[in-house]
Amino acid sequence: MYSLTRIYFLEAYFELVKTLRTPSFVLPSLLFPVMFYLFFGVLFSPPGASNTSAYLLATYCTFGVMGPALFSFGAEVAVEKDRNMLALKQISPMPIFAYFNAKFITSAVFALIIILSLFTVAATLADVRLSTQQWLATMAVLLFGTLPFCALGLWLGLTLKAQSAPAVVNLIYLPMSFLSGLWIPLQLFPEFLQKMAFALPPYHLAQLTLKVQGLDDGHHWFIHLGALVFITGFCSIFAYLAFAKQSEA
Amino acid sequence: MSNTIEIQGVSKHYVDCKALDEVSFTIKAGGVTALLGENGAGKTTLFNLVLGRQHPSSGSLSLFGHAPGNNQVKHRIGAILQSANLAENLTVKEHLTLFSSYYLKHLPYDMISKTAMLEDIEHKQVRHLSGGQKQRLLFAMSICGDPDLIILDEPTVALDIASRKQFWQCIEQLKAQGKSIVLCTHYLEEADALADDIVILDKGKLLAETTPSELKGRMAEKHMRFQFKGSQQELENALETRLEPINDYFVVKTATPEKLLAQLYRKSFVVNDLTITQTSLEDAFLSTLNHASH
Repeated sequence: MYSLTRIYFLEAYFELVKTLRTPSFVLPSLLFPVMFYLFFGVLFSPPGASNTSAYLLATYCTFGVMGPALFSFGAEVAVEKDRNMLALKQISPMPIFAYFNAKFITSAVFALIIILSLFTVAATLADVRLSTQQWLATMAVLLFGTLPFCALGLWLGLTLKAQSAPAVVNLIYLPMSFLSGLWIPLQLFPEFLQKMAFALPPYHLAQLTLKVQGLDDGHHWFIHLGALVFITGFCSIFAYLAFAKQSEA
Repeated sequence: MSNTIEIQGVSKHYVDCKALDEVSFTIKAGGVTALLGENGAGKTTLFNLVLGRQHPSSGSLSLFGHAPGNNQVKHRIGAILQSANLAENLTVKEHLTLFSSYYLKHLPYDMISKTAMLEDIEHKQVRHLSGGQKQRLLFAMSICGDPDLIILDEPTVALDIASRKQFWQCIEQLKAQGKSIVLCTHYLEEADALADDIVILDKGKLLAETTPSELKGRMAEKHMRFQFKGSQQELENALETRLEPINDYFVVKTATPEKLLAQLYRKSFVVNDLTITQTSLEDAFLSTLNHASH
């Protein structure tokens, strides 16, 4: 039985199975955000400062959802491109968009697990109190917020060599997270670094997420959304060009 | 019946070299065609053009009357790419289930796993497979869409002899079903064992379109080899031919070894450890390449 729906489903299903069987992907992407949030957002935050815990919930969630998006696209695509796995799909009649869709679904599932873990820690251990709408809105913003990082990852994955991709992705992921104030609130940074953060995509996703609780820097929401849409488009165009170039092997 | 592959005046230029230069030939439906040539002869480039992964600089290719890369064509082709890898932690069965879903008419799973001899290892993940098993899985993936044309780019490279012979059995089965198979290989014995037709490329040019027996027939000579304790000069005079000393042996190349043997016995020369061998396809191939470069 041939159907496009079935191809999209199987592609996403096996991508997820494959990723779940890779401990070196699963453990860091799920454990790091939860551990970091436990340390910095719960244990070391001043007693009674549930505002700090709520603020850091948004930023560590942002940090968490970026990881699977950047790595499943960035590092994985680079490997699959260099080891001719992508070529094998390209010469088959499968619609290549199903391949990218599968990666997106996988990133989104991991993002969802990370968000729910941090929510659980926040609600039980850090006494963060949000309304139902706020929990749901936070989740929705973060899930859609993975898109720019999927696009950035894809561009990197299609451009980089397999051996160097994980290192380069880390070199972008970790400093960018820090400088966007995802680990330590931006208010504690020198002023020029605070200004620089405005140029970084994670800053805008964190601000949109914080806006749900009214804890953001006070810029208009459409500035952040606009920045994220712009980055998604920008990276998608370069990813498309890189894809066209690699298809002409 | 229309040709499976038609290649007309195809050239492919890169910035610094001509990978293919005015190559034309056709491959008819059914049978195994071996594509031979040294490294850099343009074999992989030709495959990439046929699979629609690259476009020719000039000339035209058609598969089943369509342009390469056309979706209709993709449903009718299967391929093993050079140094292709698979996701390490999916099982044999999972890979085949996924790949089969891509094709309009796909073969039943049991039939694919039987043809590729994968029945006992269907639940193994790829990282636990041997080199031969991996190649057979790639082979299974190339045939799961019940293709009319199968392209195999060095499918048995780095396999031991037993695995290679197993792989040949898989190809023989397809051949028996009347499929067209194009096989690129460095192993001349592989071409000899499997191919009906041979296409030889050399430095991007088509050198010959032939068959294994015709290619060998061009070298009708046989190699006669033996040990001889007496004088080489004396023997050469008696046989009226030249002897080539190789290690402890003398080698004579001749189309009529029977006559030489008769001479030897009539004149009572004592020779030891005598063997007569047919020219191998490898010898014939190398001599074809040599003729081309002179």
